[in-house]
Amino acid sequence: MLKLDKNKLQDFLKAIEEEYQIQLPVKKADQTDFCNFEDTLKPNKGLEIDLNTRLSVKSPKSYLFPRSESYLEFKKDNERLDFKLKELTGKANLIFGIRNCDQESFKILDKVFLQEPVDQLYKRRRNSTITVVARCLEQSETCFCQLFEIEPAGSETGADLYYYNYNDGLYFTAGSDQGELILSDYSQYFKSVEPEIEKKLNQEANQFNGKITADSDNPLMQNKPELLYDNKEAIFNSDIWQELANRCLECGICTYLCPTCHCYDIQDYSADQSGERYRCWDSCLFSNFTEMAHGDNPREETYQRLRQRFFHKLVYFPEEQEESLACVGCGRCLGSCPVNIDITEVLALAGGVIND
Amino acid sequence: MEIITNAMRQLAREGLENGLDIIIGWKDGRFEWQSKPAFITEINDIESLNFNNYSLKNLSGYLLKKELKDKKIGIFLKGCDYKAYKQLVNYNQVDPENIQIWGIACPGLKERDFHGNTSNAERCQRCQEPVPEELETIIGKKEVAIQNSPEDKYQDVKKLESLATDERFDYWKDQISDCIRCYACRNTCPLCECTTCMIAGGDSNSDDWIDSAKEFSQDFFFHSIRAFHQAGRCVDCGECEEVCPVDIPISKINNKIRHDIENLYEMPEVADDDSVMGPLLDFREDDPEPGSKGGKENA
Ligand code: SF4
Ligand code: SF4
Ligand code: SF4
Ligand code: SF4
Ligand code: SF4
Repeated sequence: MLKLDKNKLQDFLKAIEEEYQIQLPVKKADQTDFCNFEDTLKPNKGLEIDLNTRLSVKSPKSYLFPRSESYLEFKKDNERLDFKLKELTGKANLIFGIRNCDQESFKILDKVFLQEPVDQLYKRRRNSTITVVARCLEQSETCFCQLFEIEPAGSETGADLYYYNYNDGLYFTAGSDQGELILSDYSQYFKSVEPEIEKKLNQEANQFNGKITADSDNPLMQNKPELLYDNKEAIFNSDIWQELANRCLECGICTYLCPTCHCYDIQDYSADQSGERYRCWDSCLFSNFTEMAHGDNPREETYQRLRQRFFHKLVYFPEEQEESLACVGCGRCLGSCPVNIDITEVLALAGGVIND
Repeated sequence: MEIITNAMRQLAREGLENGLDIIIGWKDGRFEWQSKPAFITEINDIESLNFNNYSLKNLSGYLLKKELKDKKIGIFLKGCDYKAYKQLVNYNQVDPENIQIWGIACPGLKERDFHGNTSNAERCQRCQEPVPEELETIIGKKEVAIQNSPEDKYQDVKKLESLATDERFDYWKDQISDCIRCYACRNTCPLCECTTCMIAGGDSNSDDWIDSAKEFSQDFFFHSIRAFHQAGRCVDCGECEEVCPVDIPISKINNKIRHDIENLYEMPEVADDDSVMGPLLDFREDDPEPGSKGGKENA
């Protein structure tokens, strides 16, 4: 374990900026979200690095799977149509201070995009992304990662670096060779750590990671996430979906902020003789998401679309992906849905269906 | 709040007993700082109705839901919600015959930001009509203090107006670049009543008029076109700003337009009845044209 004094953080980041494009949580007005480190150095922008707020408004998935990404240029030249694939240029991305729930969400995205047929757009970003996880030793009231067996204080692998934010320092360990390399290449910024502190931090982490099953008081963790999978038919056909659909605005908030939602659309912008093809996020809650060219829509009603979102996470995804559930319990849906529809409420209602 | 909650349950009960199909009110959310719309069809569920400090959600927009067409509905409306409702009636979007409205004398509500700080809701700070006086039934204490004068509610707009053009542009560029185009602002707006939105397809992604690509120009088009379409309709209920997950100050755009309409065209901020045409429909030869060369200057 190595310590970086907090008052050296900026110098350290400036140094590694030679190699990486750094993204980190930043306070802007009343919110905290990931931003470019460079922007925090500009005066007048009013951006302040924020390593204390647990979760960012948006998930950092956009660094692997951007809100929209133009990847193909085409041009008509007399009778010829020319295509050019857009290269990914610039430095590798280093995402500093993501929480373990978001880190684990990358594994879910990997399952989607890196299995055959491999998604090349995702792969090239994934391969040039380094992650630095901020270990959680406390939870916010909206957090329920442990329900999905995610260890908030972090595991040993997955991210390239892990750190504890403790008193005046950040205490680092490496999770990959790349992480080791950063610690050794920039060793002038790090100091050794007293064994007592290392022991204390590790103990706290173990306790917090292990608290999971013992915690039966947390209202968010009252129902097992396997509930839908185990009772799919009864729950699929129950009327809980209509009740939820009454409230739902069919907006994209839940899907766009969710770290594991990954649906997209492909579109062109085209002028007379040239254009670009891009892909952009889409949402299963939008009514035209499943609309066919001939006009039919297999999910015509709101309740069907809402059900799809949760069935995808808790039934279809585990069916396809060796029982892996596609939610990490980050709680963004809990905090941001304007009408309070979230996955724990769905589990609670589903629990009601089963117990009736 | 308790008085309102008790009266709400009482009226809902009577409503269902007297043949209404569905009651739309509020119930508590997961956390103390949340409140969510409630759709009650059974007497048994009436006790779940609750009006709390965070019952901001303007329920009038739900009247547009196709599932509710032809149902006999009872609905609770605060002052701001009622203004939106009146517009829906003006534009023939709802049939008042089928709707029983109960007014709420709104004491002013709270909002909580991302970091958990609470304050008086901004929309309540601007509100001039917390009590829907015209309604027959109003629950809650009718003496409500107005938090800001009609002119003071434009403080934010005036602050922006005082900036130089490029400063203003930078401000909006910075704000609007954060938009993720989830379209929650549009979907929640009771007066965005078009079933197919001309700016962005069926619900969402469509390359009809603006691109779904995350480009500033497209985000900017979305916001400016929506704002113009709301000119004279927007009742400043604040819903759009409230739901925005990235805190874009949408009300400042709408309020700038409202302020201009009042000052330049001497129109009421929203038409009170259908004899007054909205600013986008009404044309007079001596209309000021502040944007064009030779036009009358900004008042
Ligand atoms: S959900 Fe878990 S990992 Fe994520 S921020 Fe909360 S405690 Fe940390
Ligand atoms: S569940 Fe909530 S966030 Fe998701 S579409 Fe419905 S209203 Fe929007
Ligand atoms: S469903 Fe909700 S809690 Fe689960 S990953 Fe998505 S936003 Fe987070
Ligand atoms: S709610 Fe906010 S983020 Fe969503 S489209 Fe509207 S302004 Fe953009
Ligand atoms: S534009 Fe916003 S403030 Fe105006 S009526 Fe619609 S939701 Fe309300």
